[in-house]
Amino acid sequence: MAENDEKIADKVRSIVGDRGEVHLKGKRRIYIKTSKDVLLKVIKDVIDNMGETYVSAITGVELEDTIRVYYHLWNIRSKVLLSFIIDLNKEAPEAPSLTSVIPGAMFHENEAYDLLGIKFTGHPNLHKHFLLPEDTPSDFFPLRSNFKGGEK
Amino acid sequence: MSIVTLPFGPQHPALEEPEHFRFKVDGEIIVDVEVRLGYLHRGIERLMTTKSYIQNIYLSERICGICNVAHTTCYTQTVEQLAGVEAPPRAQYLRLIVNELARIHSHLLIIGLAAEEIGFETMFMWIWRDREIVMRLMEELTGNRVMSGYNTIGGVRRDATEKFINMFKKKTPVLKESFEQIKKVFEEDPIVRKRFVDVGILKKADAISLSAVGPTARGSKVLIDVRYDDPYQAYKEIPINVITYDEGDSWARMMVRVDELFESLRLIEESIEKMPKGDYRKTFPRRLPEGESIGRVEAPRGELIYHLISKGGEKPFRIKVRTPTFSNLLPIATTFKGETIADIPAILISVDPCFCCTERIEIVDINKGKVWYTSRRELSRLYRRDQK
Repeated sequence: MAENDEKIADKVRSIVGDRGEVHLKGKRRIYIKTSKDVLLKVIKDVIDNMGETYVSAITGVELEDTIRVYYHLWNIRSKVLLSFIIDLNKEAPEAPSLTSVIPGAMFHENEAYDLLGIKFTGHPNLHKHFLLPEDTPSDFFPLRSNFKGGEK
Repeated sequence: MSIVTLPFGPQHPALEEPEHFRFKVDGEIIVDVEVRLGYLHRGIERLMTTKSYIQNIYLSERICGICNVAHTTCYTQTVEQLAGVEAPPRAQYLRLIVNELARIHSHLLIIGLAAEEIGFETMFMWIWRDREIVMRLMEELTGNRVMSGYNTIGGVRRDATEKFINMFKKKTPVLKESFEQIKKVFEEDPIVRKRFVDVGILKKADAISLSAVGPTARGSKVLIDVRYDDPYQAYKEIPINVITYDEGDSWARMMVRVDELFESLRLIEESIEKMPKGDYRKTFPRRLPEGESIGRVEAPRGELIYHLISKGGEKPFRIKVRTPTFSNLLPIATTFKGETIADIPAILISVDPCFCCTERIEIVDINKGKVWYTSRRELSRLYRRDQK
């Protein structure tokens, strides 16, 4: 099984080329570190070569000096989870929206905007108060480190 | 022709849980739908970063009552993966058993509710009568009917007793007979077929591009099941048969669940046979190394995924939970278009939506709290006081 994973990782490596770094992170988990400028192109190339892929989850996390976004995509044919990682500017986090490639990313991106404030450019319906109540202010991002609400 | 907006929810007849849909209807036909989430959001992802790994088992269990076993399995598995520890073999089989029991009771619950939704209340009663057998089995194995508290980091908290195994063997034929009956009704009954067949069709290409998971995707002939394509725990040793249907309508989604009942029962029977003797729990370090891990589990409603990021220490740095209904909402919202108002409950129920999962809320147990009666005036007085 590990050999199989290695083979798939090599295949992804050949598709991604010098646009990103590919790491095998355990069984059926592949991390692809890339940049936001080429992200959509890379994902499109991977899907074209590897077949049916759906969005499993989008994780946003605030690190010390960046905001990191993980696009977890499950490839149905190769049975592997491809996690595309990009780092964003902490002051004005802006990422390209995946909805033009996989429409299923819509709600995941809405959630990331609502809770972390990551702006997805090209998203058809990006709005605040997707999960949070309507009376919360528009700069209220509970998963950001400067959020102090609720802690006494 | 004028288009009318029809608000559906948050309190509505199809589900017990609050959710707001805004349907745009042209006469009887739905032309568009908007989904409003958030009535049950309670910020569990944030809360998890302030608790220890052990405390988080119980918090993850409380994300959703019905799929609590799937949540704890996924959480403990993700943490174990990061620490490089595996649960003992016996615990892995016990986890399979408890997961499949939970799947049976969850599927029976939704099939029963679906029957009630289409006005077939007798069937609702039968199904819930037989669901009781599964709940008792669950109680015998875990000590509790719903909130099992069974999984823990490094194994499970109780062993399966002789009494449980005997009880299961005795009840298997009863359950099988009941499942046969349900299958027969779903295949042959004219009322069921009229309400579910060709209603809310989700095409295979849409199911993939809109990222449907679980029975919703499998009803549209998409071959995905975490137990099959990314096997975890004892599923590595006991392969499963993935059930798919080609039709893609509400009926196909319900039939996937009906067939999975038989499959789950077979899995439990087989794992009781094969279960090795030995420990069912390991000690586990309190502190975790720095790193990341992603855990995937097939919950009754589809793929459940936990992404854990640790900076070392006793508490997680970030836990992302993506629950199956969150993925299934978008595909199902598209299937409403072109259907009639009367089909709304039938379509909605065929996805088995679970909003407490989706938004990570707290379920209030009305049995525990006092029951009191309040007049409308009193209620509005209370409300006004809150406003000040």
